[in-house]
Amino acid sequence: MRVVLLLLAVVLLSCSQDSPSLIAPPTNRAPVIDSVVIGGIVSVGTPVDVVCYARDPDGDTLQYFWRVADGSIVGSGHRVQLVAAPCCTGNSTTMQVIVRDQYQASDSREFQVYVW
Amino acid sequence: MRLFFVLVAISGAWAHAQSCCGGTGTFLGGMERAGLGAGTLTVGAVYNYTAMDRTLDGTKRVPNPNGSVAYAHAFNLEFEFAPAERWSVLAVLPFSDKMRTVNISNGTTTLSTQYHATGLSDAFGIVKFSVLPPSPLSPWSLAVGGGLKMPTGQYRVQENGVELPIDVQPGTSSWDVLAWLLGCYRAETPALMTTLSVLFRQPGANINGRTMGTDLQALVALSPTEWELPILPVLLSRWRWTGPDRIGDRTLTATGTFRIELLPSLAMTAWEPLVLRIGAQLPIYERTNGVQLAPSWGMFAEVRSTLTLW
Repeated sequence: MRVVLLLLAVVLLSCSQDSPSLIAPPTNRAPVIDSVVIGGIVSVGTPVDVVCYARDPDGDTLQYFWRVADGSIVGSGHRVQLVAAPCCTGNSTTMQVIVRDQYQASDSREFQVYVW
Repeated sequence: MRLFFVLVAISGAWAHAQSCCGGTGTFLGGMERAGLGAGTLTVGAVYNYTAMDRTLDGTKRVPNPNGSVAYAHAFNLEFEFAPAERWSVLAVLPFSDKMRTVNISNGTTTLSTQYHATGLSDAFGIVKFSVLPPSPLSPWSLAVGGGLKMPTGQYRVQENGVELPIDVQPGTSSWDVLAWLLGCYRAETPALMTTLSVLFRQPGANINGRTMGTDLQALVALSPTEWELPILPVLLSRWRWTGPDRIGDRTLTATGTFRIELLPSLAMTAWEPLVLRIGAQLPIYERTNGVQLAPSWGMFAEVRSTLTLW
């Protein structure tokens, strides 16, 4: 019985993490978003480039996460396309970008986009 | 007994579209059934498929500005229990699988992508009270109820660093208030049961501060009451009005619809107490506020059984 419990504990512990987590160095600094540029007037039927310019003071690899309250985002990475939803002509919608390094330190920017 | 199964069988799938632009879930057959007798339990499963490959501007068909088509599979587990005479509680656990495409050109390149999400959707429940329970002494029956839809479904599903659009998410992130009414009239000549069920849904604000439109659905069902064959035809017609969405006190112009659908179905009662039903969902008339993706056709299937516990 004790052996079974021991084996079970080993299995559970070995399953507790999919991959070893990265431990941030004590001096790790969070990435910084310098600017977010929308490449034109946003209107239904016309996708528009949205580019996030960010840097990491330590030179870490950056990951980008995008969300928009109403509409669709096509693509991934630092440059995506915003496709406006037909519902929202004449209204603003909220868009957000979050930039993370591999230690989960992050910076984010939230902004309003008007749909013409 | 046959009449009871007729009542059970006249259930239909309630498309539960987010009112602007997207996939559907299902309001279940349990919404169109009077309360159960005390000590009984109904367990059911409903599958509903809705294809959305046409776009309307008012009543006119137009090209979709984003090149979008969509579909939604909904699979609901339904439990209804009657703890006391005239009272019953309906609980529904829905799962959904939704997809929408974008196929659009920005002048130099064509963007083509597909959003797809599967998962637990928003559960809901209704407490029913039979004001006039079904009785052989009266052709009329009436039941009322009220309930809540809870934000149990995921609404932050993401793929490749992008959160999926709200209409594809399995959940809506809002609490909705539900009110329900069901009235039945059993005519002797011709031997027909007419059922009217009405569902009112008032959504709360979602995580983005958007309030989906007020939703009012009415379903009229006609089915024969003297029918000796094990396959019972049921003709349903759904009338649905959805008000425009709001963000704060601003109204979103291209939201809100009025729609009439025909839902012919067949209920199989050969394996009592198991009832199996299949049907189609065919649009007859639709008017949208502005440009909206609209359901083009659908189908549904349902299996349910009622058990007497005491």
